[in-house]
Amino acid sequence: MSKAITEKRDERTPGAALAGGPGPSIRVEDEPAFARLCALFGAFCVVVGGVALYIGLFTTKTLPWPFTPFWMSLLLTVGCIALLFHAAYDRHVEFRRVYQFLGVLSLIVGAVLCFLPYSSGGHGRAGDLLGPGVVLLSLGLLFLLFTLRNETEAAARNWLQLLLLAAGSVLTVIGLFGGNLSRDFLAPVGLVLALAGLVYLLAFVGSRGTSDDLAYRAGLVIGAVGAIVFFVALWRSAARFPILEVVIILAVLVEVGPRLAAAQGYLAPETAAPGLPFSRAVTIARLVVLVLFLVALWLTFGTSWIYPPNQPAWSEYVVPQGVLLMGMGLIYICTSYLICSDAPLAVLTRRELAAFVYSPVAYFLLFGSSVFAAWSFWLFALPLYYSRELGPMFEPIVKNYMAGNNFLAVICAIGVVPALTMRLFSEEKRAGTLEVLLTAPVSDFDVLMSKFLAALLMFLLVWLPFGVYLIALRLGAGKDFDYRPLLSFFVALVFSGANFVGMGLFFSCLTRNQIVSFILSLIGMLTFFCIYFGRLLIQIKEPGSVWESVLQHMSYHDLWSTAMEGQLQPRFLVFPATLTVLWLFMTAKVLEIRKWS
Amino acid sequence: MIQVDRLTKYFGHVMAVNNVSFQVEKNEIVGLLGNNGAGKTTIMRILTTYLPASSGVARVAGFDVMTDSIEVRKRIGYLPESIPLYGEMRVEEYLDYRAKLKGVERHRRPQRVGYCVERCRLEGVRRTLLGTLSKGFRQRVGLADAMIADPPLLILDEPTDGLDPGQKQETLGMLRELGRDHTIMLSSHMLSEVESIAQRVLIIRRGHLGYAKKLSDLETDAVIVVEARGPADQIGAALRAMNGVIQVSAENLGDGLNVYEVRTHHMEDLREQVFQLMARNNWVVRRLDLRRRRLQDRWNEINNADDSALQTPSLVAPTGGAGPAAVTQ
Repeated sequence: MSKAITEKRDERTPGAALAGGPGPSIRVEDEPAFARLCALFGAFCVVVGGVALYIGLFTTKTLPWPFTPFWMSLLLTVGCIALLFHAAYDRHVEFRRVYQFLGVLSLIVGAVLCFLPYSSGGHGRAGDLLGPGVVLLSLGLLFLLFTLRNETEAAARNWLQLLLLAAGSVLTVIGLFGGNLSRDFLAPVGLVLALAGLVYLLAFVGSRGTSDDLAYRAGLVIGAVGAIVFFVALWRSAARFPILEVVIILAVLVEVGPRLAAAQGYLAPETAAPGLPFSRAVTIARLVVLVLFLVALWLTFGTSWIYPPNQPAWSEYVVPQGVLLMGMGLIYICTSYLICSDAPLAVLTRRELAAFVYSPVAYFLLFGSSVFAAWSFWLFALPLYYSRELGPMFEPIVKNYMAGNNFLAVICAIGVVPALTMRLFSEEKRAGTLEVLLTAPVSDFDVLMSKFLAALLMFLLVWLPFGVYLIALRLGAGKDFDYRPLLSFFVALVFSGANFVGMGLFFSCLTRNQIVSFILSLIGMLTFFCIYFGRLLIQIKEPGSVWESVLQHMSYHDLWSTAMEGQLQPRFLVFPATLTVLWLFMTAKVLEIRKWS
Repeated sequence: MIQVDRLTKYFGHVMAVNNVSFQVEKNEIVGLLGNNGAGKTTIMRILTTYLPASSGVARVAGFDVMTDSIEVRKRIGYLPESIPLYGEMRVEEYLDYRAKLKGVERHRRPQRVGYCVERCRLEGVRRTLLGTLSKGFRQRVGLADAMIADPPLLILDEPTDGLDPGQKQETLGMLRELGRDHTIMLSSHMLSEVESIAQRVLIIRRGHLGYAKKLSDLETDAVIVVEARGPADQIGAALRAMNGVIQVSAENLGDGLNVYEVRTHHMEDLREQVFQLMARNNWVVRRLDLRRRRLQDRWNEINNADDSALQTPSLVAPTGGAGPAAVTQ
């Protein structure tokens, strides 16, 4: 019998398809053993923590030491994190459904808690349980998002995304509408609800991508809502019936609207064919607006109808309600522009923000900022807590929170800025991605501004823990404190932040080495910090001299201190603003050098 | 499509590109050949508007690369040699981002991304992080990125470098298909690859353009090869004296044998006359052949020529221009 092998055995092993095959390697699903262990541990923590908290807070029993509310809430937090970890990694449909149910429950309970008036004394106000409410809302969002990532059934995906859309819309509408009606509702409940709603809507748009029509339109609606809120707040802030402003806005809309629509492709442009209905309509609209403008001029200046006597104090509305609502409106408009627009600036800024979120730097900075915020808050709240012994604190009590005698926030800024900005241009130069970026049809200005804006946004985000502690103070105390200096502080923060980020951006574009860029930015920040001590020295030696005034303009610590006292002087913003322009100009020139070398 | 006129580029005192002029027509595949450091990447960077030229003019689709750089960039897709990608993005995400950046309209984008993914065979890695891809896949992602906006001109720097033979064949096949309705400029130092797909070849040596014709022109060059034993100068003189011979070059093979290459007017086939000449003079012929001149010959000619051919007085760098032009930025 012949021993020759007569038939070829099929020797193909799975995944051995050569170049051109479906994937690089065989994919084997990881058995999520570790994740399930985490879930077990997390469930245990949640149950123990939840029960102990309930007993501790809502009944008259007091439990022995490890079961105090502080440690139990910590245990509860750890348990929730473990459960979230499992939700992110386990792909089995049973666990997914459980977490989705938990997420929806958490969302509903959180939303309700935000409104429930509750106080252990008996006189509750809406928003007393805002803290737990927001925590539950975020938890719900996280569970829904993590399970959405692993969701394979199209119908379930669709339902979840629509749920995000619905929740976001409801929260936004209640937050903004209620905020407009009642100023006590606006801060903090209305603001927090509006922001939470925005985050939900962003989650919806993000999970679908703007190539999808519904998500794109939702993004545009966010912008429209922001515009409406902005203009309503602007109207109500006006000292008189703003008919002139309205007509001017109409004129702008008539000019800009058809052009925007033509650019988006909704209307054929004027030059395409002569005698289109749109050009005739625009001409008629222009005539109407002109007539309205003349009428408005006459009404405003010719009659006394617009300026009735005994005008009520409008300043009651502008700060804080008007300013806050206009700020929210602007945030909505900017967010909508950022997510929907296909302009290179928006696309690049989005990518830069995503790059920050995907790198560990942002999280380390947030953690560091939380530590500084905790320390700073403790130093600030201690005198408040002992105010019975030490004497009352005078408004504005936030004076010593971020600046003034408190150096922690100032020192935090010194570390944050170089860490944020060191990789902006250096990494791209080193990886070679700058070449591909600059050979795409985007201008140098777009590239530069996108990096600047993304870094500035991240810089502002890093201060969030400080803000959260203040909200905790407001909720814990159950009383209002004057938070209006925070608004002026925000302005000061934006201006000095722009200065620092601009400086970091410039140093980053000088070199390919991130460490060098970090060190240069650090030296720059330390210089800015030491200017404050310079000013103190001169104030002691030659008070009232020119140098003292100059150094006061240059010192950001002084700017922050005066802002926190509610006495922000716009002339002190000029220095950071001009320096920002200088840094951006120099960066633009450095980028241009490659064109002339 | 591409018009380059007396392009020159100095990096400090090193001349990387020396008075290069060529033209590329629409829907042509042109191969840029040269050793490492010859100046291929520099020329490509000038054409993609990343670097400025020191002198000379380059035009892409009629737009000058210096003055109308955005217009030029709208019409090219560029793949650099190092295939730089953002490691933290996924393939799909990255292609979508690049499509937005290059101005692909919103409603066309998913279809365009899907087409490029399918064409470059990236379906299996759509959701993979770019930082975890192997060289072959990175190459494909880079190519998909270059073609994402359907530009009329693709500029690819060493697109098959570092790929295994199977991947090389596929990439070349894909480029051949694309070349039907796109203009493609690719650089390589592998002659065989360029020969297999390019219609025009540019040979660069030390920044100097040695050859810039279509491959079809090359085919019409032919040479008679004679291996004979006998007195070299007499044989050479006799061959040169034949009717219709332009040039004869000789090389010693050792053992009394010499090989002569005879170039003739209008590629006349003079083999029989050569045989009779040899027979008349009793010179022993070991081999008589007609060889079509190949790209390899032209390449060898250019690369083995001495440097005196390259130097023209006005373009010699002050420190003596025989130094290599190898500078990478």
